[in-house]
Amino acid sequence: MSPFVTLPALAVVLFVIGLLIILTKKNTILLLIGLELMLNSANLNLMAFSSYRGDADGQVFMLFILIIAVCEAAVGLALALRVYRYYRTDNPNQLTNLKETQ
Amino acid sequence: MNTINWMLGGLMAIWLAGSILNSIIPDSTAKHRNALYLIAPILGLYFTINTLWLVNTLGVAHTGFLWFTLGQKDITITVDLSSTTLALLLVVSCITLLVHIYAIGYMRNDTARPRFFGTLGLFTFSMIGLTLSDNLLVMFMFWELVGICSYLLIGFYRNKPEAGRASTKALLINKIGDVGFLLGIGSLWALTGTFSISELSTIDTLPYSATIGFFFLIAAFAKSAQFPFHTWLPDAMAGPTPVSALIHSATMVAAGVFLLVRMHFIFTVDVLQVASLVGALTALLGGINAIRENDLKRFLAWSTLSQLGLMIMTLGTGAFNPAFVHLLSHAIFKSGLFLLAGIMIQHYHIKSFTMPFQSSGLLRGVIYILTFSLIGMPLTIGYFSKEALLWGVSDSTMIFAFYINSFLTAFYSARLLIFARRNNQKTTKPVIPLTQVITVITLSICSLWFLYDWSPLAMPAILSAWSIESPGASLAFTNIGIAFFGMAASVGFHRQQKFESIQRLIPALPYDAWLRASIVKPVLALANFTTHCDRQLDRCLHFTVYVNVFTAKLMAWFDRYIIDGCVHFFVWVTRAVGNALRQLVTGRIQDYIWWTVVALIILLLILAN
Repeated sequence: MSPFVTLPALAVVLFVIGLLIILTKKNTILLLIGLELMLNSANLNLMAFSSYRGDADGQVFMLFILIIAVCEAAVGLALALRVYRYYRTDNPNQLTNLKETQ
Repeated sequence: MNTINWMLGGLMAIWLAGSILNSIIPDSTAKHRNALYLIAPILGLYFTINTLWLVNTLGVAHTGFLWFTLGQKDITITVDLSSTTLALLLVVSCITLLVHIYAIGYMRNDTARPRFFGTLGLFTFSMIGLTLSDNLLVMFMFWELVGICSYLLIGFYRNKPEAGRASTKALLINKIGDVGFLLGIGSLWALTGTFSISELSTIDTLPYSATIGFFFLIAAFAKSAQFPFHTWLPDAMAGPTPVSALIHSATMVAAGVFLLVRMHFIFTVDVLQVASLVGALTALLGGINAIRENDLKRFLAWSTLSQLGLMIMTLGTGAFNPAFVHLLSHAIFKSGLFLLAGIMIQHYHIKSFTMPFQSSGLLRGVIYILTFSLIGMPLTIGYFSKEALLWGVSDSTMIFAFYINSFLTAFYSARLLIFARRNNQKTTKPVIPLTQVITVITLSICSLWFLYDWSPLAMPAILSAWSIESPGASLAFTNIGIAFFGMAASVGFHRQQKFESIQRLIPALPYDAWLRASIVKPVLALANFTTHCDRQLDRCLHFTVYVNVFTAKLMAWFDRYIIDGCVHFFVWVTRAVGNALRQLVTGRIQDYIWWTVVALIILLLILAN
């Protein structure tokens, strides 16, 4: 099998796994992990199509995203920590403050 | 002038105060109470005589004072002091004194004496005011007051239903006359701007005087019980007998004649002719009914009616003064007859001619004098006034009506003579109170000739002051002859026991039924008709109201269910949509993401197509 087929397929699998994690898991940390997975599936796509087209733009862009993903993971973990400290829970089902409470 | 004012003021004040005090003070103060009832009449007579004396010495014709100002017009209460007024004033004062004295005896067992004497005093007050007044408006006020007093006194016996009916009848019929009086006053005020009779009499030509004359004629007819208003007078006998004597024979019923005498300048020839005819008719009616009537008091009432008719008839020929003279003499002898009837009813328990009467000699003498006076026999006051009347009608065709009335009067009056005749049945004689005997004797003495003129046949000198002359021997003798014939006929019929068949010849004329058929029924029918119209109008109104209410209800329904319904429907839709959408807002972040994914997939599907 050509790597041009397997790599996007892996990216799709990774994306769907990440999405499902986000939709189903009841833990803030796991949501962040699912987010990382989806981000990495996007990176995998960038890398695969960069090598398919034969220029390095996509790979450079992927590196940028990696760096930003690190920052994002740091900010996300900090947020998760603050949320846990504030609400004494990490179950997203109990964090319903987005809805206006009467 | 000033003294006269004081005297007249005192006269009016004493009667009014006496009337009020008599009705307020209860009757419990036994013997002295009787004296209290007499204070007002005695002082009143004193003031009257003083006034007469003063007027005679000072020679004034009018007095008065300013009452109120109506716009530019000054309304003064003027008092007339002419000889007619003063003569009636004297007669009223004397008779009311006598009736008061009589009534003390007559009413001695009645519990309502304060009410009786109070009303009687009020009546005398009003009658004196009516007599004295020169102002038509003031006169009308007193005219109404005597009517009210008459109403109160006819209905004095509150436990007698017929008295109540009679008083209502008298009041209602008199009200017709009051309307006439009021119309006359209003017309005169509109035309001349004055109420004063003395001022009116100086006006030469008055427009519409015939109409105004008719108005006053109606007033006088109702008060003096002339046809067709005469039916109230016989019924008015339901009142106490002193009241019948004072009000319904001597004073109040004479007020109508007095009004015509006072207003004599206003009547035109046609109006006077009507008065004359109506008077003659009333005299005839009264005479015929007096023959038929067996009830003592009603008999006297019918006789009063015939004499009043005679006055109006004579007055209608233009002879006002003779009519007035007969008014005065009639007041004297007829009140005497009524007081006599009171004695018969109270002490002999005789109510009608059919009962046997054991007369004492004194009473018989009194009855004879008064009856001869009523017939107009010589040696009595009735002779003088009948002569005056005869002189008054001597120039007109009414003299035949006069002769007919003379015959009828003699015919029915003879019943009294026969009634009082000596018979030999012995019964216990009742004790009659002295007050009652004295008054009757006084009145019968007053009915004799010598108080007025020593000569029994010539016209008294007092009457020539009123420019009344003797009718002449032939007429006078004819009249006396007719009277004798009437008496003889009556006595003859009685002797042969035929009088009852004569009575049966006279049909009972149902005036009340006629009045009911001609006036009461149409009025009632009109009232019913107007009520019916009213009801139909009400129905129309109701219909429109129903239509209105129905439309309003319809519109309210439309408003509530259609307009409001639309609004409510939109509200419901909005709320339902809102409620449905609100279910999406759970606050859980994963739900949001889920929906975002769904939306993304849908978007992708759309884009893919």
